[in-house]
Formats: sequence, structure tokens, C-alpha cells
Amino acid sequence: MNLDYTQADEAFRAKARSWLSANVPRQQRPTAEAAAGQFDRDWQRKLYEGGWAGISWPATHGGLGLSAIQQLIWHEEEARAGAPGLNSRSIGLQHGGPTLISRGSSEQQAFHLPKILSGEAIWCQGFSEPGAGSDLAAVSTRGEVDGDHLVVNGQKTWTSYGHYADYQELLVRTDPQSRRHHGLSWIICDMKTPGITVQPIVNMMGERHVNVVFYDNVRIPLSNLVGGLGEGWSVAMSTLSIERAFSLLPDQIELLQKLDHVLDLSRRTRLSDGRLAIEDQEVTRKLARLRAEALSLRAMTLGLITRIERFGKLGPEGSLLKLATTNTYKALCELTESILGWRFLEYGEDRSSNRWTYEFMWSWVLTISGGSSEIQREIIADRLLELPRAR
Amino acid sequence: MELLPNAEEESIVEAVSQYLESALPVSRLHGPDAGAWNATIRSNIADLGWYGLGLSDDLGGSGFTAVEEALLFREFGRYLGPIEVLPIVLAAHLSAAADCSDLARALISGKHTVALAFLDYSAAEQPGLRCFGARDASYLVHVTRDRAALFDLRSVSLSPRPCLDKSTSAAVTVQLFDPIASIHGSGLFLRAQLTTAAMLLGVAEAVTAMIVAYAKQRITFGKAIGSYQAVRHPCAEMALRCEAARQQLFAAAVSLRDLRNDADLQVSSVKLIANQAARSNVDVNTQLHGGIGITKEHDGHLFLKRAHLLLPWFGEDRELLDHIHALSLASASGPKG
Repeated sequence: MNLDYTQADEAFRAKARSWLSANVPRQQRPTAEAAAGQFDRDWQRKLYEGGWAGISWPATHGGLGLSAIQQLIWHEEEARAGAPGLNSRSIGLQHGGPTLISRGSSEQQAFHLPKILSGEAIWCQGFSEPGAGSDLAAVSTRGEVDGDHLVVNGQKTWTSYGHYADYQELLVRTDPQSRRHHGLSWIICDMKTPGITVQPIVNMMGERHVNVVFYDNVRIPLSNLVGGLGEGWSVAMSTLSIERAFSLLPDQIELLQKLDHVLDLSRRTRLSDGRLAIEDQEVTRKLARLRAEALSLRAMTLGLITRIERFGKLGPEGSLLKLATTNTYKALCELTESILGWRFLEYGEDRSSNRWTYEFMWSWVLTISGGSSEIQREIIADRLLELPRAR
Repeated sequence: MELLPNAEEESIVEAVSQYLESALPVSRLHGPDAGAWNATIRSNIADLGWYGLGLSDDLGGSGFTAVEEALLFREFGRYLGPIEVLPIVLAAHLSAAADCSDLARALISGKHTVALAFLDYSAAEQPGLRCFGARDASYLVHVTRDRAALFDLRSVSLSPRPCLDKSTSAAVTVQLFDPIASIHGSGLFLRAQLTTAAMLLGVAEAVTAMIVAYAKQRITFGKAIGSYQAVRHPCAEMALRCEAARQQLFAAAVSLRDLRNDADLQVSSVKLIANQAARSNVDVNTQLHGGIGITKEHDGHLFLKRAHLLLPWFGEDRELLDHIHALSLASASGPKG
């Protein structure tokens, strides 16, 4: 075992650091919806022009073909430089794009992949439904073949960035007789197609992040099917594990940074008894425990990266990391509440009014979305411990 | 960067676990002498070269590092190996560092038993020492954050005390005496902390395997209990605590071996994380076993008692948390935005 980076990796780090320090936008990402989407597109365009688009993509499809270690280095340098998060770029770069790379036709790849890399196209996901959240195989949105089109009727929900996305990865039931994960199809849906209505869901932080999407006789060309009719489940599952592990990397790296921020907060915030928070042993011991946990999360990440480099794939270990990262993040948010006292209650219309209170509420987004903590425990019980199935 | 054991490291783990499983199985602790330490066990382990695993060849050691020692003691935790091995290893390191090569050689070759001492304020008005494994010991080793000292036990009067973990013995002393060898600095403390954390991880992993195996075969209400989420989810949490402690052990061991700047922080963190893993996992293991889990005939309580024996060694939670905080105050580079 070793924690040493090769000369090539160190050179990559230096190159990434210098490019990022010269190019990371100085202004914060706007909270207004359309402006936020434009901000994401502009940043992706800048990455593309600078030769930094497609960190996790193979070189054969326009990506950088980086090793897992270099991807980690890139994310560490992004955090260090305060670079914008993935935000609305995440579905295209981490899910839609990689799915097309592994299962799409060469025409689909040639049309869509450059648009994702250059920031021209933002993608959203159309998997979850009111009756199919954690239980994804319960999808009931219908797709009927009519000539050379698929006619879609139904409803999707929790669609992040659906209000400014250009394309959607849409999972529909194309065989009405089928049950569970059979008879599903994965299709690329142009969000400007007639019959699509996007309705906002305002979250408890007061922001529009997710949407309900309604489909009323939406006609999608069959040529947009990926992997063929009825292959939807295997297409949807084709990219999940490594992407899921990597999608949490920025959160995990930022935890150590946030701990320093909270330490700083505790140096200048007084508790209800007038003492500085840092003079309170309960606060400092909680901070210390979180620091140890954040270090162990980093060590877990390095273990996953070693596993990917060694075996080229990842088992259920990604679920362990997701569960641990989101738990620790939540505990950090709870600590900031106890440090801030009354100030914690000063929350206005959106995140701009109070970063910490916003993050406190956001912590439930992390423990629920992308497979809730309960689902992660089920995955660990099934696949890692091989306990008898509950379902 | 590689943070999983490589083939060579795995082969050490395999050799250690094979030996412990066949020569010193957990079942020995149910026997009449509760698996008590003796001269035969001591000399057999010397033949395997484990006391000198991390010491140089010219002293009779194997020339390995803190990484291999951590892997060795993780298996000791898993099989509830004799706790008397760690103080011999620590005493050998101390002797080597204090230029007492003859003593280091004698310890590595299994000539002596060494007791392990911790400061104890619990019994007397003045601070004393709480000693483990003192039965038939010739020396006593006391390792603190800034100093480590080796004492000749012939000059000490010990009062025996009962010990929760029946595989070893406990005693206390209030007598002050001069060490025969001592060293300054925190190096040996970190090594002791790392290896104790490794044993706690081994305990946490062993009880996870124990309850998972039981959950597959124990039937209640017509189904294996492992199919109930009330059992599955706590088991998943046990696996998570093991993974966190295991990976942190690897990171801390490499950091200590390579004398990185963050070694103290990494090692303190693994003791804290391993304490948590062992404490919670023996708890959940005992609880999910139900009635059988609190009987003497079952193995569960042996792991529970071993975990609680090791929790206060080289840093209980409060002390670790305050130390980690002090380290982060020293290293935090201030606000970053």
C-alpha cells in the first residue's frame, strides 16, 4: 500500500491547478433559474475550450481518458480552486453521456456527445414517477409504438433541472403486459417536443430545483431508442455503480473544507452563554469526531479508486461511501445549527440568505436522492453481506 | 496511490490468520485455563517471527514496517489472539530505539513476557499504574504520548486485580521506580495506537461475520432473521463501520510508515473510528443474537469483553477527540471562503 502519486499524476495536478486558478469564475452561481442554467453552460464551454471537458469519459468519445486517480486529482483541484459544482451538467456528463457511450448507436453518439461536452446541451433524467421512486422497476409511464415513433403518455417526477434541460433520458414501459423490469425502454427525449409540460416543485429551501413532467401524446422518433425496444432496464443499469461513486466525490472532498469553515465559524460565533463556540468542549469534540470521519471517508474513497484501478469495476462498495458521506454531512449541518443559535433561524427566501441553514435542509436531499439511505442499506445487505432477500 | 493490501501484504495476512485459526482458535478461550498465556505460546510466536516483524534484520527482526504490523494485529483482533504479544513488540521497539540491542534480541526471540501499563487514577489518591498481562512477566512497558519506558518487574510490587477479559490478567501498582530503558517522542505511542486500533477493527470485523452468518440460518416467524430489515439494516451499518475503520487503518499505517506530516492526526483518527466500530459492533452482535448472545457458552461475549478491554488503551474517546481538535487547530489554515 502507498499514498504516493506518480510523476505523471503530479504533473497532471500542477497543470489542472494552474488552469483552474486562471479560469474559475469569480462570481457565485446565480440562484435565478435561467441564469443558473446559463452559468452552467458557460462554465462547461470554458472547460471544453480549455481541453478539460469529459474528465470521466474515454478519449475515443471526446473525453480525457483519465485514470480514476487523475479524476480524483481533478475533483480535488476543483474543490481547492472553488470551481463551480456539476449542478445541471451532472446528468449529461455523469449519466446520459456515459450511457450513450456504452449503449448508444454511433449516430446517437455523434450527435449528442459533443453537445454535452461543449455545454450546448443540458440533460435531465426521467426515471422516477409518483409511484416509482426507490422502486424504479414500478415505472408505469407508457410508450406505444406508432409507425416510426413512440407515443408517450404519463408523468415523471423529481426531474432535476427539467425546466431548462434540452434532452431527457426517459424510461418508459413499452410492453403493457410486462411487469417489473421487463418491457421497459430507454429513449432520448427532446424537451421541446409538443405535449411536454414541466411543472415546478418548490423545495423546502424555497428553491425550484426539481419538477414534475407530464407527457400528453409526446411523439419521439424510434431512432432515439437506446439499446432497442424492451432493453430499458439493462440500459438504465449499465452506468450506475462507478458513476454513483464518483458523483459523490465533490461532496466528500468538500467535507474537509467545510470542516475548516465550521472551525472558523466557531472562532467568531458566541453561544447563548456568551462564550465563543470554540471554547465549548462539546462543540470541539463534535468537530474532532467529524474530522476523523471525514478522513476515513477520504480513505474509503482511495480504497474505491484502488478497486477501480485494480479490477476495472466496482461492487456495492459505492453504497457504503454514499451512506457514510451523507451521514457525516448531516452531522456537520446539525453541529452548525448548535453553533449558530438564533442566527440559524434567520432564513429568507433562498440560500443567499443563510448558507448554513440552507445546507442543513439540503442534507436531506443527499440522504434521500440517488438511492435513499434505506435503499443503500438494502444494497449492502443484499450484495455485500449476501443476506436472504427481503423483497 | 494504492490503498488496499497488495499481494505480498495479503500473504502475511493469510499466514497469520491460518496460524491463529489452527493453533490458537477462539474455542481455546472456553477451556479450563481460558486460553491463558504461557511460555509455549510465547516461544511458538517467536518462531513465527512476529515480535520482530517491524524491526531490522540485524536484531533478528523481519525488516517490515508499521503497515505489516497493523495487518498482523488486525488478525489478532479477529481471532482474539493473546494480548500479551503487543507489549513484547512494543518493548522490542523501545529497546532497539534505546540502543539496548541485546534486550531487543532477547525479546524478539521470545525469552520474556512483558506487561503493559497505563496510568490509573481510579483506585488511589496518587496516580498508579494499571497493568495487563503481568502474570509471569519479567518486564513492564509504559508508553505515553511523549515518552516510553521499560521497567524491570522484579523491582515492582503488584497487586492482582480481576480482569473482565479472562484470557489475560490485571494488576495495579502505586510504586514508583526507575526505568531500565526509556525513549522520548511520540513514535512508539503512535505505533501502539495503530496496532490497538487494528485489533479493535479485527474484533469489529469478526462480530460482523458472526452475526451475518447467524442471520442466514436462524429462523423466526418462518423466515431467516437476515430477511428482516430490523436485522439487515443494523448489519449493513456494521459493515459500514468496518469499512471506515479498515480504510482509515490502511491510510494511517502508510502515513506512519512514511513519516508523513499528518501521521499523528491519521493514527489518532483511526483509534477513534476503530473504537466506535468495535463498541457498536459488539453491541449490535450481542443484541441481534438474542438470548444465546448473553450466554457464557457463546463466543459473542468474548469479543464484547476484548473490545472493552482495548477501548481505553492508547486513547479513549475523550482524550482522542481533544487531541484531534488540538492538531486541527495547529494545522487549519484559516477561512477559505
